[in-house]
Amino acid sequence: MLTEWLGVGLLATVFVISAACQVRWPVEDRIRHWDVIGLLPYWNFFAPRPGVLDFHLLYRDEVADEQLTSWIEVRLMQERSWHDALWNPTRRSKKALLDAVAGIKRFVDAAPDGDARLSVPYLLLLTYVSAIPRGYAASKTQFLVMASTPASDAEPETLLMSELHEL
Amino acid sequence: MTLESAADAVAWTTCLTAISVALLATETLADRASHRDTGLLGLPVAQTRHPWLLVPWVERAVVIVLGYRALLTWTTLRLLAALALIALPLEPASRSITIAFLAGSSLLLGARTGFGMDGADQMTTLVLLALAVDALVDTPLARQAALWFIAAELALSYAVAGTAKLLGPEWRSGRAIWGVLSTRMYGVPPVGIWLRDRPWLSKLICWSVILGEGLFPLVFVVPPPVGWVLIAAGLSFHLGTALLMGLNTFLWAFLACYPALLWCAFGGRVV
Repeated sequence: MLTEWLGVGLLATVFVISAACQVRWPVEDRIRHWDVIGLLPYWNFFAPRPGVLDFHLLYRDEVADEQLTSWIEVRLMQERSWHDALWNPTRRSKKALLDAVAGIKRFVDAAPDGDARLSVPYLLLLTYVSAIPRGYAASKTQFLVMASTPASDAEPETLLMSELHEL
Repeated sequence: MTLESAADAVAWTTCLTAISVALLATETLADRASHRDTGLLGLPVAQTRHPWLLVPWVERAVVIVLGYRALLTWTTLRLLAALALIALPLEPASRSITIAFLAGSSLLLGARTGFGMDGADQMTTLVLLALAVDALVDTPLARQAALWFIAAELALSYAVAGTAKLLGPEWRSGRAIWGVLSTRMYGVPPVGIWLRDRPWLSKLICWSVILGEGLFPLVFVVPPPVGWVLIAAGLSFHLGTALLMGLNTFLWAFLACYPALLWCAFGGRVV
């Protein structure tokens, strides 16, 4: 009997909390802060503002004599394939890039004078770019995040350019 | 399998959730490079998101339990467990342990990184939590609670998504659908451009999504024929997002909720 009510109570509690976290209010932030396992969803898929941007991650390196290479785009956003509807293994890493970019933007919006270099998403992108195998000796690297709006003729926009970091 | 009892609804939901878990596991194993320490889904940087995860003994424990090698082990075990639930006639005790393992490991792996997770992951974890409560407690009340939890979470997800879209001017105008479908990330650019040139169709699709999602919770109170229309709209929506947006795991994660929803909304009248 006790386990029965514990089980029912657990499910009722999770449902109430997940419903309460669908609304923006101070309690939501506090609850989500403790949700380290990411259990509580945001159910507002692609709304109210739909994601109409493609993000591009580029990097360039400092090589001998402080020369900089050309920008190289990391091939994350390839054209989708028909079989993505069945099996789409790169979906999660693409989403991670999206999350990192959104995270940096949130960090900058929340603290315009803050140092984005200390944010987790910035460190994630820097770590990722730094580990890309190079066929040449490079001493420093720099990454660039750009956004394009495929449905318009607008030029891609620079969202963030990192500093040069030691490799 | 039929849908003549609550046990049938649980069996269907379990099977479909196991397919979702197996799919997620094979995708993780195929893209394992992204989960290495320096990948976009790597642990070390993600671990810095909470100061307490950097307390030395906690950090060491997290690396042991959620590091790259541990992730591959968990994922392989989850794949085997999911396949067993799908294909093997497990004894009730083995079945309960398998479901509890999938629920527990889902909760654990959710702590690995906040990056790259989506609603399909969360829905699968929530459904597994409910199935684990049913399997471990194993009483009629716990079974009804698990089914109602899954059905209610599904209805909540649609209601929130529909309301949020109703509040978005780009959704109301129809611009959202061609804007999203024009991206390489979540669309098929030629389809997006094609829709951009047909604003009436874009608006029709956007309002269909807004109304279909927003009105979905009515499935619990409307007569079955109307309920079936809402259910058909929901299933078509997931099929469409899988085909056009590549959201393949959403299809299975949300489809798994429908047997529970059918049982709660229609009871024995479904067959």
